[in-house]
Amino acid sequence: MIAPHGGRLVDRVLHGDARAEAAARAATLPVLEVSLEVAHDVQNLATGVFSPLEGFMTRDELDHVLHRRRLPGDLAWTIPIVLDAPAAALRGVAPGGALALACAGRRFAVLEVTDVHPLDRRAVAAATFGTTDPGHPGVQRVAALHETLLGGRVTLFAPPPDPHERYHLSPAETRVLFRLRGWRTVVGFQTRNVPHLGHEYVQKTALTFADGLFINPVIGPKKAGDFKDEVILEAYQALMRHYFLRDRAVLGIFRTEMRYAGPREAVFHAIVRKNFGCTHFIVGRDHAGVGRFYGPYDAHAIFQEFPDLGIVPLFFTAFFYCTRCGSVENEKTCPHDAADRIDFSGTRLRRALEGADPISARLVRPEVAEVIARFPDPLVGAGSPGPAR
Amino acid sequence: MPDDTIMIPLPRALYRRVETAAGPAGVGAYVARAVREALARDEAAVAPAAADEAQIVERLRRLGYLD
Repeated sequence: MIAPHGGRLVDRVLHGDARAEAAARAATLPVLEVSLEVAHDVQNLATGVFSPLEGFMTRDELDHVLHRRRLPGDLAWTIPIVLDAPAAALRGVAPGGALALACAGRRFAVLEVTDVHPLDRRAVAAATFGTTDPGHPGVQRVAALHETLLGGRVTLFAPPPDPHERYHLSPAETRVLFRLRGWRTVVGFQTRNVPHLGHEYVQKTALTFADGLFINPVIGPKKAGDFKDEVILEAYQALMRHYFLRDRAVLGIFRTEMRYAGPREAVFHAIVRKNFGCTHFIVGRDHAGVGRFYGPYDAHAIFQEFPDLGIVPLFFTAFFYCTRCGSVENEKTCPHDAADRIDFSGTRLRRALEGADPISARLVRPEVAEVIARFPDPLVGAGSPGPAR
Repeated sequence: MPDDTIMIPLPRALYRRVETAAGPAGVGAYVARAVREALARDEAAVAPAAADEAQIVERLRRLGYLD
């Protein structure tokens, strides 16, 4: 079984008497109210999804990640994991103190504050996303953060509610599952979309060379025009029921928000799946991209900086359905003209959903199309808040 | 050489350090022991306690991931 990133799976979840003691202590502490998305990242920190991180980044850790793409100590890490706080919540808060974290008024974790530092929005956005363009959803998210960041370890005593609890497995659980299934090699697949035939082609191609496949959709706030979480999960359930061997593929969610940070997020996604127990990770065209902010294969090139990452990236280029070949192909395998190709673009699928085009069986499996059609409103709306803290 | 033997290349400088520590005839056994110990450390670092694993297996069965 592949070791977690940094060699040890973080476990900062309390049980039994320790949980009760923490809850009692939290009742006496000043409270910082956080969003459900932050609560889920606290859970990710505490359950080892973000190993070796044990809490939110200090200024030193953030500076290293922004400018060197590594933590102090040189372990690869590319995405800031930070906690912002409004001024009103910071009265009397100093390094050495503690805060109870609450979501919807319910205390669920304790933050041991080791650092209070100002947020440089421009620096964080420029380094993380490669842009400060306010049209980038990640830049918008950073702009909406409060001015002060808190660093320190978290301890979770009451996991936040999750409507998708059925698919929410911790790294400790996926590792046991993969081991009991006899999987020595596991391919992780990241997605924020419903599956089309191109996705299935990539998943099965990778699975050919591994013992198992871990389909791990990001479930959480996304931008307008992305598919809603419940649509993605039901669509994958339908696909796997009809088109995958039950003992070769597992569906489990990654509860977080999309950062749309392109190359940096591709490396982050690989690290997270390494923590879940994957030995390999699929990196496609424009992985974690948005609009035209990143080159189509920038997310492949960045992995050259991290030969020590510990999980093997599997790079896939663009693929399409060729009507002459009668199958999904890529530029290396298909000799036919562009006129014979059907591209797997999100735009094409969204047009089909809007009724402008039929949903072709060459684009999406009929069982998946049937699931999508059952939802009157399958896409995140233009008026939705999207990724927000 | 036995059928289940695998050849592993070592950088020359590293080989010399191992040879100094283990003697010319002991390099293979030294490397094999180091690899076994490293694997054991890795597995210990991630293996849940027995009681925890029992709870994990029960949850995986309840959710349908295991029969």
